[in-house]
Amino acid sequence: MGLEPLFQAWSYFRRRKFRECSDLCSQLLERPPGEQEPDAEYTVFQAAWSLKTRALTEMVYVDEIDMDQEGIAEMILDENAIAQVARPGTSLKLPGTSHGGGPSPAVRPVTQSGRPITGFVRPSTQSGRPSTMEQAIKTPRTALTARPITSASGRYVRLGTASMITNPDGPFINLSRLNLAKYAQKPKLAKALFEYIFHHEDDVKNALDLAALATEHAQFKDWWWKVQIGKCYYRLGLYREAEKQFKSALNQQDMVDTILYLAKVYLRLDQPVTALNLFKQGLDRFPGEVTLICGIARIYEEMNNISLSAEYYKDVLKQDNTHVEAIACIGSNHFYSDQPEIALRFYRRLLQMGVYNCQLFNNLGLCCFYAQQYDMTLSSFERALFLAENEEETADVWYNLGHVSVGIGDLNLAYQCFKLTLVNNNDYAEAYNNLAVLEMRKGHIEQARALLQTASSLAPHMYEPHFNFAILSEKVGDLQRSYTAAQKSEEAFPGHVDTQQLIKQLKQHFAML
Amino acid sequence: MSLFKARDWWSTILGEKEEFDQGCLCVADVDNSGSGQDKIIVGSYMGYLRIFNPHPVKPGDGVQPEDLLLEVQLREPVLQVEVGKFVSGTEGLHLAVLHCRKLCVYAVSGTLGNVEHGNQYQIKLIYEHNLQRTACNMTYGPFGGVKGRDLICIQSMDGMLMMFEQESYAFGRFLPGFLLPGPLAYSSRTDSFITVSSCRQVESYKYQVLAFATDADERQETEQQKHSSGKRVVVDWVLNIGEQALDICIVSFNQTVSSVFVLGERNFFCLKDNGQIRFMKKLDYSPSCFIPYCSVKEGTINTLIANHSKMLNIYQDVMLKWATQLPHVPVAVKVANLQDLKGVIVTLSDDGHLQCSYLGTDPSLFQAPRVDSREINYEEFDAEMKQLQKFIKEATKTQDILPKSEKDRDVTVTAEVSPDLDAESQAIDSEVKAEAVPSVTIKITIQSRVTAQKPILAVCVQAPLAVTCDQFFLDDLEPDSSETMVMSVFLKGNCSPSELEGNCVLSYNTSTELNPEGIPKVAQCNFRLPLRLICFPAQPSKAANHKLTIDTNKPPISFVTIFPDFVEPSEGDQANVLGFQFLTGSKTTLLASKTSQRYRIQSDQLEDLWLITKELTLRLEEHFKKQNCKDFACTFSGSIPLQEYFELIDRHFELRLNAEKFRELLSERAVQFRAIERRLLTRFKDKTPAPLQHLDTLLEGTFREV
Repeated sequence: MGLEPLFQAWSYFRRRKFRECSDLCSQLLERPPGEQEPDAEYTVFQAAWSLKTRALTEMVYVDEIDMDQEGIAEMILDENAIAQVARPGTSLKLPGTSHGGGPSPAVRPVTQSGRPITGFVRPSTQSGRPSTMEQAIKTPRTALTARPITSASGRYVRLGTASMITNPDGPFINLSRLNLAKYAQKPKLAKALFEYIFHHEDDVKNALDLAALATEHAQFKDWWWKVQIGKCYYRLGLYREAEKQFKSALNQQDMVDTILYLAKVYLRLDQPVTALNLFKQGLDRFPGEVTLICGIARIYEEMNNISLSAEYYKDVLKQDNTHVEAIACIGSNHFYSDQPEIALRFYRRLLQMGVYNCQLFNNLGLCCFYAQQYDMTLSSFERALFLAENEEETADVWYNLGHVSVGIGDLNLAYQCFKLTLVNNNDYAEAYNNLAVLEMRKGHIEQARALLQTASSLAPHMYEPHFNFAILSEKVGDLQRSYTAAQKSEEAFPGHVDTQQLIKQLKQHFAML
Repeated sequence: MSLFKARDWWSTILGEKEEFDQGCLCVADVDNSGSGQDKIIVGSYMGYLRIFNPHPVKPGDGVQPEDLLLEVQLREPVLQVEVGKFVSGTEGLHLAVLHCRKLCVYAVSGTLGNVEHGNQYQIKLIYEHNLQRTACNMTYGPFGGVKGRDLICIQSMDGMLMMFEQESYAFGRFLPGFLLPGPLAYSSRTDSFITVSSCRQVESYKYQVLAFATDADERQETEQQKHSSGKRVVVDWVLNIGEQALDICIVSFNQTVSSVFVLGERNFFCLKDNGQIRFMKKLDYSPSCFIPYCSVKEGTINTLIANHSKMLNIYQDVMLKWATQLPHVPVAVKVANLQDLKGVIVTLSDDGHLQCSYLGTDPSLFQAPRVDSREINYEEFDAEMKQLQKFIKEATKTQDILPKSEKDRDVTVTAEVSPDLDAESQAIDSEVKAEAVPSVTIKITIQSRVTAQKPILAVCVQAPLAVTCDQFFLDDLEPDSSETMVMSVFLKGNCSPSELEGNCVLSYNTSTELNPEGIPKVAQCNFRLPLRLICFPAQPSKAANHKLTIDTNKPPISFVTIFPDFVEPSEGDQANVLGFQFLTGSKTTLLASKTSQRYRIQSDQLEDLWLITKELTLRLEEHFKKQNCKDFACTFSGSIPLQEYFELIDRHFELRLNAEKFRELLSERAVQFRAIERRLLTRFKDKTPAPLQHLDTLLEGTFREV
């Protein structure tokens, strides 16, 4: 009693047992000797070949929409920028152009490019967008602060190497020997082959060639090929061309994915308002589509319009109340707008849903602390430490513990916590800053100064080290340094009242001299 | 991610190491009991056919022996089981079982016993068809609008649709452009078959069209006439969805609307009869199976979608209504009426977990594992705490972020400057215009008492002085070993240095137990270079622009004693005038007063005074220290030549400003260069080649400026 091998492979594929499926297909493919390329009308060989292609692709498939990283080269040689000085609220590049309603950096920490820290880590939230080459080069390369990636291929390369892992004895399809034109004639094979080349081999150029031939063969009537060409163009950095393809595809057939791709192109072209409009049109066509609403919320968040962003995240939750990103973002929003109790409820919800990681317990611990539930605080942090996967996470937990111990007045513990933070992550600017404040209180001026200088060189976008340095220098009478530091602090956070007062005071001093 | 888990009503595990897939589960009142109670029919790839009628005493009970109505082993794998009106002459429900090469239709019947466990069930084969081709899946329905009976359509692995009008084989048709089979469904409203082809399109074929098309069996013979006959299988409508589908369902819960639901690999589609998208939803997980089950609200349809992360999501159109956790990844899901309980969710996993469950607010019992905590014993804790505090205190004293002052170093570096200049000058590339540039040899010795890893020695002297070799990469040092390096220092730039000191730094790693890589450490030492390196004795000159007089509290010393390397001893003890000629060309004269305790330094240039003054005071101090004379002091009583000094500072400032200006210019040009590069890039990327408009000239020009 046995199943037909092809049927068995097909069933494996449907149950996402790709490894078994691919092995079975390989056996099928070995059977007919000689013939390397499937060209007969219909053969088992052809079917098995196609199935194996699909199985290998699925093994490494990552949704292209979620992949986004911008390297230095793309940012600097960005020939698509339209206006150098954008009007307020129309660009993501200038952090200051919010409509208001954004929180001040005193309440919510910001990334290097001046955006508030988001509650959910996505690929694009990690990279800042430095405005000039000089800034990009000067940016300190630390583990956690926003760092421009040196090349676009950071993530793509890793995906491409999958082929080596899965097939130690040579790739399944030898791309250089492939006659793309022949495959383009056969739409049933070509689509699977394209996905294989694009996702598994990560060979965008060949994929584009194939897609171009295929769309020609389909007389430009197949929107799917247009989307694929657009994807290739996007990878190659030809955004205007990609936009054209996606638009043309949308004209033929409304699809959620196409809308998402097009919006991604607009974001890369720094046209958030166009992307917003596109999303809103998309919502008219597909009401209640979570990914579209979520896209709107993300854009508002990046544009510093936190209140609107929260509105849209709430809409997401109305459609899909298990959406982790929305819950996390609303939670962090509540936390930073001084409602730790409500934030606590959101995070607890995440915990109940089975999110079980260090970051969540970290957040829970902080919320508990600010909601004055001290008994839960320490045990949350204990769990966070237990769950920490790498040294950066451990450093985060220790930093927060230090923060808590400052809050309860145990300065000794705080001191040790911050020290432990630095042991785990030597680039932790915030810990340097806080340690410096503690040293300052102990009267170790020299050490405090050294620490503050470290902090400000590690994270020039934070105003706290600059301000503390200004205060310190002012106390010891080094007015000149104090003034410089105060000015830096003002640059980082123009609305900081204490800095302004200090500068005023210093100016009076200088006038008196 | 869900808050709740599905409440287990009844569950069992089928067989051992059996495999199941999508078609293996069917729910129907197969024995025609008329009670409206569904039975669960499960077939496996190992050929077992089982029928269950679960009636647990209380929810969550395991399987009772009498729940299993029937278990038979068929000789071939069961690909799909369906229940319908498959036998002519009766409207009763019969069971169709699809094997690889056979279709069998059975009647299931039961005889009631006196007690419940006395009930007997058996199946009886009504008819069977042997298939020419390997079957893949099947669908059934009133094809062609027949009343009161169901016809069966089997899709083979190579793309042939085989129609069976109950006991007889009707016809077979090949689907055009076929590669791999997709899901197949029959829509009774439009009387058509809907499938998803390998071209990633939803395709609909009318039954009529299929029936009138050329017979598949004659295909080989009529290959040539196929195009002319006009009876090819023509597709009714096509919708390109751009992905493969897992399953298709066609539902019409009220008479007016019928919808085609397609579960793709990444999206979930609802189509109208004519193949337009009614709505779609992008799924952020990998779905495994689905079933649209009812319409709670007018105009909407509720759907169950299960996924590979063991979740069951319930959507009302596109809105998520409920999400629940399942104990396994289901390959098939159905909704059944069991034991007066309506809407029981029946799920089957590919390794044979069959579960009937209902939704409830049981929290998904996610238990965070306990952090290992010790029992609290306060005295012990206190003692341990104290001990730890002590450790910390010790540690902060001895090793901190800021370096400690080390008394006994593990590695020492000493530099020895040879008293004489090199016989043969080692100077290379010196810009000094003098005839001979002298050099002096420095011998650096490293003594190590521990193992020092990766030692690197760096020697630095103030520009314009230079060293022949300023970096040494050494091999790891063994304990109690020493290394000696030799290099020469000479004047490189054409100006006098501001000081004659140099230092050498040795950086190395010492490994500890915790840190095998080693802790970086540094040892350094300073050395002084002889004055002879940059100047040589010359004829003293009387006149000079700048003069400096230094008072001392001791009688003047003969230059022969303090400047032995500049004064020939033959000149006699009373030499009180000394001339220095710098390599760079300027001269300085040193005079000692015979009567008063004064020295005078004079030179044409202000900056040259410094080195000689410094040397003089240093040598005097050394001299008196040797004589154990402690109260020696040098003072300067005259007015400091501030004016000249300020002039120099002004000049220096100006130079700095200039440097800054040039740096700015450079960065400006660099920006311009990049801008031109960018424009060129756009030009080259354009499909229609535009003239460069002299951008290339501009580029070259800027490059030259840079």
